[in-house]
Amino acid sequence: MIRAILIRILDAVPTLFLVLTLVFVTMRLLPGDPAIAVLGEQATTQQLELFREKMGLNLPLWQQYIHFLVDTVTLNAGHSFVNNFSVAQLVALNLPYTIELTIAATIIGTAISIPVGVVAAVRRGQGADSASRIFSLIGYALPDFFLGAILLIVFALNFGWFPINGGGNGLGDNLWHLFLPALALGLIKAAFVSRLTRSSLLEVLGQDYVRTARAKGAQEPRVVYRHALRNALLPVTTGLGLSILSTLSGSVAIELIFGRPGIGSMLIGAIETRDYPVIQAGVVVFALFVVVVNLAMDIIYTIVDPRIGEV
Amino acid sequence: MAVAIQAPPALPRQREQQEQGLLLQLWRHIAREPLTLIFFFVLLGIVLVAIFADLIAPYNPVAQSLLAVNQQPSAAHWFGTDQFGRDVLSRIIYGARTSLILGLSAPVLAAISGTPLGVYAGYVGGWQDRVIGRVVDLLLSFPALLLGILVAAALSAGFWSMVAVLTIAFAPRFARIARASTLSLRTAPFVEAAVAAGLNHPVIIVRHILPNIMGPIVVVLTLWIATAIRLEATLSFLGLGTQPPQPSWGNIIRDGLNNMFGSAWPIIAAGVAITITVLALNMIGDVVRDILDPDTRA
Amino acid sequence: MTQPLLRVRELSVEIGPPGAAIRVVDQVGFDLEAGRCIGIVGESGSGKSMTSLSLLRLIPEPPGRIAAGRIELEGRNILDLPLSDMPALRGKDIAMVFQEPMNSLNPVMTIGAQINEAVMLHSGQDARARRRRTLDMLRLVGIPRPEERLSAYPHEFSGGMRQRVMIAMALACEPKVLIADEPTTALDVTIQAQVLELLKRLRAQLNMAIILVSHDLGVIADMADQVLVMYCGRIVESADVDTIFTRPAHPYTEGLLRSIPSNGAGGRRLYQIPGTVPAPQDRGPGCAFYDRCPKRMPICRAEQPPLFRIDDSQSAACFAAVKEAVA
Repeated sequence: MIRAILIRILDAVPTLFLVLTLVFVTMRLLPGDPAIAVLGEQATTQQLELFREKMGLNLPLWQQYIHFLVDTVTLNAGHSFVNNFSVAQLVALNLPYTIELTIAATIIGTAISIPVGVVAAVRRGQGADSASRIFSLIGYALPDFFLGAILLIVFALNFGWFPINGGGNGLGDNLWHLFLPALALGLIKAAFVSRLTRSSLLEVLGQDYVRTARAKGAQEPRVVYRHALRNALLPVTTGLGLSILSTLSGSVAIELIFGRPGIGSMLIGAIETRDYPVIQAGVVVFALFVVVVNLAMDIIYTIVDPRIGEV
Repeated sequence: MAVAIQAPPALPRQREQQEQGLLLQLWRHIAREPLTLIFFFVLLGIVLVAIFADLIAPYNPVAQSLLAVNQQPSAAHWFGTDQFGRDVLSRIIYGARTSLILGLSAPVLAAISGTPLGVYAGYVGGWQDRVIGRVVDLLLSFPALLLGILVAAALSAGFWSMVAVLTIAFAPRFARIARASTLSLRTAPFVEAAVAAGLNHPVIIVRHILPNIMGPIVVVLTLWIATAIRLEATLSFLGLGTQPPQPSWGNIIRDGLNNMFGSAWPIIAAGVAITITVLALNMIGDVVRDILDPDTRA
Repeated sequence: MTQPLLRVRELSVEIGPPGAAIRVVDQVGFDLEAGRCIGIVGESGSGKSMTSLSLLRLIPEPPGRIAAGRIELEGRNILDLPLSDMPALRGKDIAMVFQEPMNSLNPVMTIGAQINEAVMLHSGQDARARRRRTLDMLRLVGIPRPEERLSAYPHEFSGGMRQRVMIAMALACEPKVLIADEPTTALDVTIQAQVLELLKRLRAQLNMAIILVSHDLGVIADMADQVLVMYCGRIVESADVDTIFTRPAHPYTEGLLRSIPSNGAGGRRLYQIPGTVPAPQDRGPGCAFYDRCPKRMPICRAEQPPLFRIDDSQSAACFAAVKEAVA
């Protein structure tokens, strides 16, 4: 099993290179002069030249590429154009908020979807099943930022139970600020994962070993939770992994709605102010996130299923 | 004496006949269940509203009025007005046009750009296939929204860059489908016969391979229309897409958020519009998929 | 004659929506005494597996349903019990072993845990006692070095070993009746013989009643005392094992026996009963075997033959058989 894991890690390295290369290509080679994009159309030729010099845009492309790679590895991202903070510091400041949001949303989403999926499978065809189907259908269609906005308006604005914006200081305050945003993302995630839980559980419940468990004299709850669910959770784990990434992308809009700090709001803010180094850093962070999450899901799946582990 | 060898007739003829029956089949499937029928008409309504926006909208969507700021819903303004005094209903109506145009054109453009790439990779094989495959797999591992955001970060905002962003976000999916279909078709007997008959490759691809991969491509297309609309809304909400004052359901919510204390109606109206449209598209899309490719039934 | 351990009368099982249900088991009945083995023979679709599942009331309730009959275990009709009382019975009074041990054992649970669970469900023993019992059962079925195998997963065993594990699990609570549904079908012939030997030994040791379900006449001949032949959901012949093989009464049984490849027959084509099993919706009012029967008579088409008693040791649902018997 260790061997299988190592192979997957090694395979991620060329992927990483590819990702960084694509980011580089996107940022440098796409149409439009970055100098103009950042400084605006009114900038003088002098200002534009200064910018290009500073950004190293006049160097040959392959040199720029090397610099880019080296900078990324050494976590040297330059300084923000807007407030001259070290970009690396900005990222370090914002990253925890995004991570805690993603984790909290995943926890809430899982906590909702697994019971819903189990009930829908066990009471297949009945009212509870239809209710879960409607829940999923709406969840697929509802934009996550809309749900966030509704939650914000109803619970923070109207009832005042939760703060309107900010990320919070300290553990308790953080959790208080975290709840509504995580709930918004978690409900959307639950719409998808509950469906997956249901169909996976239904498939497992039709298996022979479930029949054996019943024949042994196990009561139905035990059959479902001890025997069926463990096997049903295997594909659900993969689904959860996929949905972590979509939760991550949803977090961008949610951070905006709830006025939370995070990589997403950092990136959007940088785009608005055309803060080039921050934009680049934000893009790289997200890209790396994706690669790492994919790798992690791969490894987890290898561990969880004892059969696959025996490569 | 050279004998002119005729290439075997391509299968598209049969497929054409199939397609006429398909539309009828589609209608019958939709009409069978009351729920899908309702959503079909809802969708039809939305499309008509988008097309005839000029005739239906009571006000100019970008006309501001300092007097009528943040009004609650009334007979004059069914959804009230926003912080600039613009009629929300009219903005929603024109927003439908923006969303639908982008929602329809993006997948189509993505199909047009992604499919040839996939076909090339599948047909030629070798290192080209491996490289393209690697890149496509990588792009696919990104959620479409994230990809969209990242590309939009590099381009400036606006309607046309949105088109580009959405196209780039979806093209890999089409490339993957096209490649898989091409791979399985490449070893099909009728393709081998065409090669043996001496047809050169571009002709084979156009006459034989392309028509036969249309099925799965169309299936994927229907899948992504709803997602494209949702994506457009999200990107506009983030400020990366359609810029105000041109209305898009996404930027209506964005403006509405800045005006939270004033009136919540723009947010509600736009959000419900997006939800209903995507829901209707999902339902109809399911039916279309059931017919075209029963294997993908959820 | 001792009071039968298990008495089944007119058991019928239907599958499908209430109006359009199909009878997959039609009025099946038999007696089973302790220490005896009854063999149920039939092709796939004959209803033999459904019969055995219904003894534990494991028929999936939608779409299936036990439509009629009585299943009396030691005098008590278990069909009268509420479904929630069944788990206490399953594994304890009646246990079942299934056909595909690979699929029938939970792939992510160790075999030790699975057998342990069987003990835990029906006894109040503590962990150490349960472990001892698990090891005893593994030894009983002949698994070498059981202490080491406790933490092994099903996929680490061979087919024959897995079947032994299943048997160990089924016997862990000393059931009075063991139902073995095609226990050897998925196994090699040599392993098959070993498993059958094991079952015979256990039957003698524990005085256990066994219901052996199989499509393989050889397996039945080896183990059973009494044989039931099923076709299209009904019992078409019931007899002592010797009688079945020497004096079959029902044409279907005769056909089955003739189809067995035998040594010394060399060169001749294998016999096949002509025709195929009719689909449930194609069956007419008469005997289900009519279209394929070499002895058919007009009455067979019009009426279902009931199970006639030919003598003390044999019954057959066949008009022609009765005719021959009285002739």
